[in-house]
Amino acid sequence: MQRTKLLAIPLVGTVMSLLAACGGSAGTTATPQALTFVSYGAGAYQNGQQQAWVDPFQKQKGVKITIDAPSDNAKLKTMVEAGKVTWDVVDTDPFFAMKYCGKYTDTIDVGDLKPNFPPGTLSDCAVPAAFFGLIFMYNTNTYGTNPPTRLADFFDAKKFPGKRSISGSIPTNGRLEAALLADGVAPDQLYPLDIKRALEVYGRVKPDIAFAQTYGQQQQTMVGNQADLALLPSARAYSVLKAGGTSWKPVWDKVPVTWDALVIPKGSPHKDLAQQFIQFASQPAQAQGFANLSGIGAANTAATGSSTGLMAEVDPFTAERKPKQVLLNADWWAQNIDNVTAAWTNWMSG
Amino acid sequence: MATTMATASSDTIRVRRTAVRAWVGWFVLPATALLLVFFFYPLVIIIWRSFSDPQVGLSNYTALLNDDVSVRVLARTLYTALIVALCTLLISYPYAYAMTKAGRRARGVMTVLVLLPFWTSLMARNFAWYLLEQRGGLIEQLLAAVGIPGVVLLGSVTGAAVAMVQVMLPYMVLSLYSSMENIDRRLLDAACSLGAPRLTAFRKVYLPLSLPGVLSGFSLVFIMTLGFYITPTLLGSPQQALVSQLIASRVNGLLDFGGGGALGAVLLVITLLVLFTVGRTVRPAAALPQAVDRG
Repeated sequence: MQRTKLLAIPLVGTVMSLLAACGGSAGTTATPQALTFVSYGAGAYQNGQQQAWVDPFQKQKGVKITIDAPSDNAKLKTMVEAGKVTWDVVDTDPFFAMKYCGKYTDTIDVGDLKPNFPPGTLSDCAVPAAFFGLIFMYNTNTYGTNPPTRLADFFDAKKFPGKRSISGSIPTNGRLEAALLADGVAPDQLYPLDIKRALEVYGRVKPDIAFAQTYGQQQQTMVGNQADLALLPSARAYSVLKAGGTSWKPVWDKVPVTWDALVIPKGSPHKDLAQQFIQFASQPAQAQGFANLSGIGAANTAATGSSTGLMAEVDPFTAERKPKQVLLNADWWAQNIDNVTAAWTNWMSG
Repeated sequence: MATTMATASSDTIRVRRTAVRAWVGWFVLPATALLLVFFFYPLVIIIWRSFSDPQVGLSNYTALLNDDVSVRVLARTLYTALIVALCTLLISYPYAYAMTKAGRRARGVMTVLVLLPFWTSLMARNFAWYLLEQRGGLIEQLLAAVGIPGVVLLGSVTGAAVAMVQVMLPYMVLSLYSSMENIDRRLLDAACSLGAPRLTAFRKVYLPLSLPGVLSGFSLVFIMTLGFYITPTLLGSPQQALVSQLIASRVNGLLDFGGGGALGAVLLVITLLVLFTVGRTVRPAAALPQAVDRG
């Protein structure tokens, strides 16, 4: 008897979990007034979005927004292919959204906001959410007396020996552009990108590169003095300074500028509301509110405001640093992202 | 127990056995159901996609074999797993041996010492290694103190391998111990009484008898290391990527589910080959050919 009872517990558990698994596919009857917004997980970036976008939108519309994380293109693809889309608005890279526009991502109507984004950054399926500059920083502990002054110094291991920290992810954040600019390519001659040449420039310092698997890891590397030079997005630079990495100083040379986009997965059950949310988040006040909280560049060009303190130190979007900006070419990237990914992965893991 | 068995009539025993046999089916049901739904079904899909995405055929596999990087990363992964398994074995063998010789209480302490890290979260251990291996960390300081300066393990495949050896230690020690525990030590005495020096007795009698434990521990560690993701990701470097990292970048970066699945399938085939080979080798009889011949 004793045994029978003991056995019954796991059995019932299994049956119930199986039933639950089957039930899930049949009964996705969410209330219409709910939305799932996907960002990158708790941190300055997502918290800024929550305070500047999610909270006020919930209040204004009386809807419930669930925040999910992390944003993941492979997961988005799987959801759409399986026909079970549970994400409504996703913060991701714009090139993925453009490449798969109509396949994995849906078109978005931004209404009269169209002229409010920098030229070439708005596309049918991707609305800019935040701008980043890829900035070059050095550790004053290492180069206190003889600091680097230009982007080319990052790729000069003779003049500036030391560990170089960059992200190992697909270089959509301007890393290839930075290498070509450092190698003397004029900003207006960048595209089509010479991928091979850019990788050769990185090849000069490859033994000294510490590839970070995530930006969190890169921040950790910098704050913990595990590197001497770094190329990283401006918002992450702000996080480094805020976390106590104040021995890091920026070098103001050319700054490749890229952006993150809001997209709606194809088949989102709440497309209308998702579109309203994106329009709301793109208003000047919301864009600026997000920028002030997280150190990114506001997506809406009509947004006005200025950064202060630590944020200002690494803010590439101030008026006097504006001439240094080099905007990424979204069309080229959308067409070539697979080539770049393959070339980069092969070069890196080889 | 033996007395009740003896007094019970053979009929009763037969009835009990049939009842037990019927119950066994129920015992394995939860595990089988879980495996079918959450393991075999996804596995079949992954493998199917590796042959059908983007088009039906062997394109993912031919691309994989013609791709220098994939092949190099696969080779590196096999090599790393081999080194990790060997190092784990070398460290664990004397320990497991000592466990069989130790008294009851000492053995208890030794078992707990092996299992202690096992009970600690893998992430906690990875981060501990992160701190130990980083620039200015304990390992660099220690090596510098003995005259080898500037060794930073973090961000290299060596750094990941060192941590993997530590993570795998319990699996190896326990496999070895469970096999060594059953070795009849009187055989060693017999060998000695026939004139074998202690070392020869160990080499010719004990070592072959412990071989099943060695092989099962070795294959377990080897296979687990092949698919290790989190430790190489955290402590290794994409520059010296292992196959799990390559699969992740295929799937997440290129959205190449077919190509990632093909890599996974190749890994699975290698694993099955290892298991098959070990399964054929690990037999006490096969381990002790001379003894069998002479017997």
